[in-house]
Amino acid sequence: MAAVSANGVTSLLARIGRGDPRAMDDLFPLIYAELRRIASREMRQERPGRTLQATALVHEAYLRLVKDATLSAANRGQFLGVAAHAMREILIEHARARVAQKRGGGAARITLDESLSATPGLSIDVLALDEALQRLARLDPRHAQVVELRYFGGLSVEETAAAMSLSPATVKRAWTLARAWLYRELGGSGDPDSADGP
Amino acid sequence: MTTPDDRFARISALFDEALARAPADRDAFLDRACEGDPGVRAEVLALLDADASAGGFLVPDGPGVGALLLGDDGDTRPPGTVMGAYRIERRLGAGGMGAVYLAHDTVLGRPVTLKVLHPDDGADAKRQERLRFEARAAAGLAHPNIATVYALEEFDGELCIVGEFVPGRTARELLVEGPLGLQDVLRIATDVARALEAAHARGILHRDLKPENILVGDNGVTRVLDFGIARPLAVHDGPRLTAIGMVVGTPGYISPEQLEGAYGDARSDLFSFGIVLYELVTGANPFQGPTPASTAARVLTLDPPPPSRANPISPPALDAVVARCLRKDPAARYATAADVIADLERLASVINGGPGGTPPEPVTTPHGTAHSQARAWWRIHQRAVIAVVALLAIGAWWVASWVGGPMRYALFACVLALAVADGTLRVNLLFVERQRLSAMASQLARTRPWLLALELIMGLLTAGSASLVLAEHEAVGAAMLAVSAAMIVTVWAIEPVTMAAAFTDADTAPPRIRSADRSG
Repeated sequence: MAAVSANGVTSLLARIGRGDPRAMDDLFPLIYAELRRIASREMRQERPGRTLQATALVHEAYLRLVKDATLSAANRGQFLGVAAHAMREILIEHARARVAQKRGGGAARITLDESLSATPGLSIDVLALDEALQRLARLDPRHAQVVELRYFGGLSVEETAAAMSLSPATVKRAWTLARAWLYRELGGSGDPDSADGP
Repeated sequence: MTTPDDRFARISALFDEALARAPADRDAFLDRACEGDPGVRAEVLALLDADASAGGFLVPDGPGVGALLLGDDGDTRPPGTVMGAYRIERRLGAGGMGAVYLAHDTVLGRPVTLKVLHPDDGADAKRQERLRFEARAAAGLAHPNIATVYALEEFDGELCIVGEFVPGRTARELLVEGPLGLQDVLRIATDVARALEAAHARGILHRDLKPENILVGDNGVTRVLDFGIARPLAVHDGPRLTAIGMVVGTPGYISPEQLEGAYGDARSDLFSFGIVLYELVTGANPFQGPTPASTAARVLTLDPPPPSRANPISPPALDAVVARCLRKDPAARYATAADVIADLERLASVINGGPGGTPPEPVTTPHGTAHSQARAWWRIHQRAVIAVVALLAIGAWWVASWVGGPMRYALFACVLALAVADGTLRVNLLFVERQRLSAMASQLARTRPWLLALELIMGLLTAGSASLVLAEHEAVGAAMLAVSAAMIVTVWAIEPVTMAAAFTDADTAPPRIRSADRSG
């Protein structure tokens, strides 16, 4: 499928909604290509200290591919879920390319951070996170998927719940555990200053 | 889908149960639950530990993607939903804090706004309490420029702020159409400053002043929304700095000291006020960067150019007010909102030419000497070109008579028309530069292609007729060729440079208009 049309995406989403498993396989490359295109455009303008904002990219991909088609909450969830997965792939590729570029420079890392990446503790090593997520997926795929949607796709608890057909409470519980688990796996590389405000 | 690991499932269940208990009871609970399995117990404890110290780890910021896209934060209550004494009529919008509904107060029979607050994922009792405390403080504010809080209600554990409904548009919505007129800017800014003054007098800071929180009523009165409650709740809002509770409003509207972690005071609100004022008059936030991090860095380090550079309608006095609000050092800013009001009112009376008011100050931009020299050169350039085209028109008369034939009048008429058009445009530019600098940018943009075309044609025409007369009048033909070459080179290569030097980018570029965002 060469031409990426809003209609195509919408009908694919409808097919996914009807339970057509092949539709998901057709949708992924579309969203992936679009995200790739937006991301590489962003990276061309890359400056030191600049971070990729997953939410912004997924947002733009959504606007481009879905246009103003009115989607049901379930369809939107499916789109965002696929987009989150595509986003994860893209970031990992980018991180790998960087590592390769630095020829084994262990310090190479891409930061994906929605907040102020200037705060050093909040930088996340995407490759390490991905490996930890794969380990988590072997223990419980659902927990890993919640993280993928929340972190790589920027979905809220409610959107994640809609995308996974779970209750928000379940998502919230899974998220809390997965986060703690990953935090420990990554050696507590989170924010050193976790004390409450004044 | 593989089956979840059994051991992990057990750990997960114990973790959930332990987390639901008070921290003090967790040890005893795990002792009981994990009897004979110290490995699981240790793992659950480690996870609880990790959870307690994970802070902002992985926490996605801002409203979810869906909220950004569709203004849907998942909180959509259909019209007719009843919450206590309130019946929801329609959804007004969604902000970082939660959804806002227009509702009908069935007891008092009046329209109200109902803001359903989303406690953050990790909202604890302490934060909820602080939230209530601050909302109560804000509810005590009674001022015509502050949206009245009627009540703080709790329905099924959800906090709702019930407030006055004022028909109008937010400053963000107004800014979508570009910068505001000077009169409007002053009126809105003065109202906002009055609201700040009243709140500060009661020890309440706004902490998240931005165009989204400023409602310009249809009746012309401006009200500031979300007083005092913005800070503890902005957890769900735009980017944040650090982990738990360390919330600092919206980068781009936040003061340097708050970015650096200070609690802030009245002068921090005045910094945000300065940015809003800047944006109202220019249409753009001076610190806006492509990412929250770069925006924050600009807030900390960048001294923005005066608003008049982006929009010449800003008089020097307004530039001065903005500059003083935007000082990095709080001590260098206005000490109180009352001082801001005094300056804004003085400016308004000057502009309105009120009784005793001096006539409006000429709208000029302060420029360095290099700049004014470039302007002088630019003027000389204009006059020189006008003189040359006038000479060409006169010369064309003689040349036409030498050429002879039916073409002679056509040639002369052509050159004359071109010269008159070109001269008129250039005289007009000189006039605009002197009298209406504010329109200079647009006028330059409008006239530039015409000037280029006119002078190019004239140059080519001159060169063409030079070839006709060259055989008989060598000297005149050579001179004409030289003039035509000079004209083409000048209009193509030299003028753009003089223009750029004389009118900086800020002068010649129309103010950038930032697209509206949906937060607020």
